[in-house]
Amino acid sequence: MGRKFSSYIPAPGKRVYLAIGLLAFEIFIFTIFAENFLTIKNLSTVLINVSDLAIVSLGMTMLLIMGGIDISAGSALGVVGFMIAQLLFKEVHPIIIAFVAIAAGTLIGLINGLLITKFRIPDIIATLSTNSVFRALIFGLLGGKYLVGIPLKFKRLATGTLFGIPNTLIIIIVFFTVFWLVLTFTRYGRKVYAVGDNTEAAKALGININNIRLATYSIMGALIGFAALLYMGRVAVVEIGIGSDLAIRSIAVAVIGGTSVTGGRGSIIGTIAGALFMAFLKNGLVLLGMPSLAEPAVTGVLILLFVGIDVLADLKSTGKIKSRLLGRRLNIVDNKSKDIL
Amino acid sequence: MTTELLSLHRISKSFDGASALMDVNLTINEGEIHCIVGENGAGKSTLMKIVAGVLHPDNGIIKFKGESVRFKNPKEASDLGVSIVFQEPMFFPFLSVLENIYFGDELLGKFNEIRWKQMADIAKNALLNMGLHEDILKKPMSSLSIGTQQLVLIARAIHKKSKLLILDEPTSILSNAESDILFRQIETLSKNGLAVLYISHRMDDILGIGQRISVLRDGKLVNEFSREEANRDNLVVAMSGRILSSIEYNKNSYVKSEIPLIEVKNLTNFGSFENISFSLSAGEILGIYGLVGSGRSEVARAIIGEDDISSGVVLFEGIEIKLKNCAEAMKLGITYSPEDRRRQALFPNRNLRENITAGLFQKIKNKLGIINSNIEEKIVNKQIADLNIKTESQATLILNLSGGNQQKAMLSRGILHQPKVLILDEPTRGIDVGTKVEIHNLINNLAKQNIGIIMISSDLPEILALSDRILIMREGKLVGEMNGKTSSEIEILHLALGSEQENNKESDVNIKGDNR
Ligand SMILES: Nc1ncnc2c1ncn2[C@@H]1O[C@H](COP(=O)(O)OP(=O)(O)OP(=O)(O)O)[C@@H](O)[C@H]1O
Ligand SMILES: [Mg+2]
Repeated sequence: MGRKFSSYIPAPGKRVYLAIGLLAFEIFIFTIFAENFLTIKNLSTVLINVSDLAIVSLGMTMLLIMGGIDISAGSALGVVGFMIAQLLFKEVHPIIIAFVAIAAGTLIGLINGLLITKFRIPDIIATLSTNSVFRALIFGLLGGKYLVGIPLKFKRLATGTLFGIPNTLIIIIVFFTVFWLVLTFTRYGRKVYAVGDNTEAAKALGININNIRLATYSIMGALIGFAALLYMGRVAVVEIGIGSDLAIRSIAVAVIGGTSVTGGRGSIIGTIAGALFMAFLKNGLVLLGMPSLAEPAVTGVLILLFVGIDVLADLKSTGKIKSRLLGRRLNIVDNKSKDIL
Repeated sequence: MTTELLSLHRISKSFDGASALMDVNLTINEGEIHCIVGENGAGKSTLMKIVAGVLHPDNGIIKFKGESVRFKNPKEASDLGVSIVFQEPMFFPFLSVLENIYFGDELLGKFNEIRWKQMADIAKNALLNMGLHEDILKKPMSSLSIGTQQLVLIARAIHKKSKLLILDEPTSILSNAESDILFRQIETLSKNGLAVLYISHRMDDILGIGQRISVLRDGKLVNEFSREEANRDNLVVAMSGRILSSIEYNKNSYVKSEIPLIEVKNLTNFGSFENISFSLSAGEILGIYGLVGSGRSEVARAIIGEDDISSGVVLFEGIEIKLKNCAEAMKLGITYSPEDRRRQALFPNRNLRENITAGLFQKIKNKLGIINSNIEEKIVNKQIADLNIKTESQATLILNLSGGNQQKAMLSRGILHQPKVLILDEPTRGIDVGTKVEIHNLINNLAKQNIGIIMISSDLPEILALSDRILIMREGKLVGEMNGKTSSEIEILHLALGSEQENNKESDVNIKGDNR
């Protein structure tokens, strides 16, 4: 009966089982082959290291569901990180710093959102461009140096424990629960899905698409601001490459978890699984003694693989490919002739 | 006693200077089923969109319960109780049926949280009323057949306890059984006070349910009939402004060729159709009739290489062919004009000319391989005239054409390829009665030019009027072949519905609708 009751709440879809299964398989493999993998110490290290990625991935998931994307996430985190460092040097109260960081992040998100809504620049181009600008800004601010010796005011937040439970685990659980509630039980959350699923229909039903976009990019910014606090607590160094793989990794997290890059589909549960998968992957590869360069390559391949799986599954369900796997049945003949014209 | 619900006063609307509606006056009473008819492009959909707040009139006043209203967007209209089902279905494919039904007016709890369970309970009823099973509530819209999708959209419009329901050609993608459910539902609701604005090209439906019938012609309201006054002839005259000659065609007498143009032997694609065998001679019109979902389109798509074949062979002029896609089919001279024009044929962001000549590059290029726009323009002009396509110019965006005129454009694209075999899937869906006759004549003439034609249609009179032979399909199987000249509607329906038709007619369709 209990199942029946909950069953009309929008479910994540079958694809999420693939992500969870894969995560289980990964844990199994690393447990066998990497001696120190399944130890409390290692697992809590992994949790600490994944915290900023997990938080940013939440925002990326929402953006992708909405049909958007944020390439600038990593450099935005860098810019906010630099600000946090400066404020820490000036010994500003941590609470004020936290407030400033989140506000600055939100502002950056809002800028992206305004470029996309007011100036109608496609999401990927807008954030690719701001990414460049932010990266150059970090470079200019650092002047070719590293920022080290930053006061460790956020170290406890990012690496401490509460009643023996790592703080980051608590943070992750709270954030994921809140965002699941927002996406599932609020009108705003459902509009995020609707805009990504069929923008025209959403418009026809009187939804203000631009407001939804602005809100979601701002939320992404706020999450980046918070993630920057965790990052500074954990790493406490600002260098030119800060956050450079954050965007691609958070996209990987979302995609592995079943979020569609074309919008309309995705779930928080999937993103949890995806985030843990990526975290264990990095950790496991290190424990197995793989060169650190392997990780970005694996990330890239995983994105291709999972987007590929989703495209194929779509074609299959729409009957455009039936028994044969890769296909010709893409209904593209007419599109070809369109290109000729 | 009649109470006026909504009235339109001197509504005018033009698009880029081209007038689509002029001084239209219309009243809708509570509990009235008011039908709007008119040729393709007469302005029916435009008028409905104005009533529903999607478009805004250039001039004129809308009064709702006597008070003047201006809807800024569809939400405002919907909040007052006006709901609309568009001619081109509009929904969220990846969201569940439940969400599609409630999107925009979710039920909220204490904390403004969405109450899924409560919504599901109400939505179940809405589905049951449309003859659908409650199990589809959780499925994504994209997994349903287009008929079921349409019924869900109607359920969405109805469940809201609206006061005015606008249905723009709702039955053009519904099977007969599904349409019957809809009519019964509409009649019940109208007895309870719901006003309905109903648009259709199907005269039988209009005369069956309409209590008042208004006729639009070239953007003007030319006539208003009561149910008693209206009949097929005076409606057609009012719509087209001329008297249509009889709808009997001189059927050409094709000669059955020794080697058939196309021969299909034991064609099977598991899950779609089984053991289909037939042949087609040059100059023959072969009708294929069956309920929506009986596998007709799938057979056609398999022939042109766009769907899989598990077993069986296709012979073209006596030689076995294994086509990989419809481009190969077109090279051989087999052209397919699909039923779902929006998804399978239209280039929505292109103009009419490009949509008609798409894929026709060989015929419109000059020696240097560049498109010769003079030739292109001439070809397109001829098509516009032949098929009576109502458009501002060749450069009009295809999406700005009325639904029926989009259909005509797709048809003309198929014809222009000068195929040997032309497969037409629902060629007159959404096309007005006058043009329908013209298109029927056109199909007949193509057959006289020795083109072999396979015509898939759910329109029984159309099948009977044109076909030399009729194949009947049910649930993926060929259940009968009839002579087009001697068979009757009853016989064909009997075969298409199956023997226990009377009892199982509806449930049959419902179950199938869900899992296509
Ligand atoms: N958005 C638009 N931009 C430009 N012209 C338009 C637009 N929408 C409709 N029109 C034009 O207005 C006229 C009326 O179109 P409308 O869609 O109302 O016709 P209709 O009566 O619904 O026809 P059908 O039976 O084919 O659906 C047509 O000539 C059409 O080309
Ligand atoms: Mg219309």
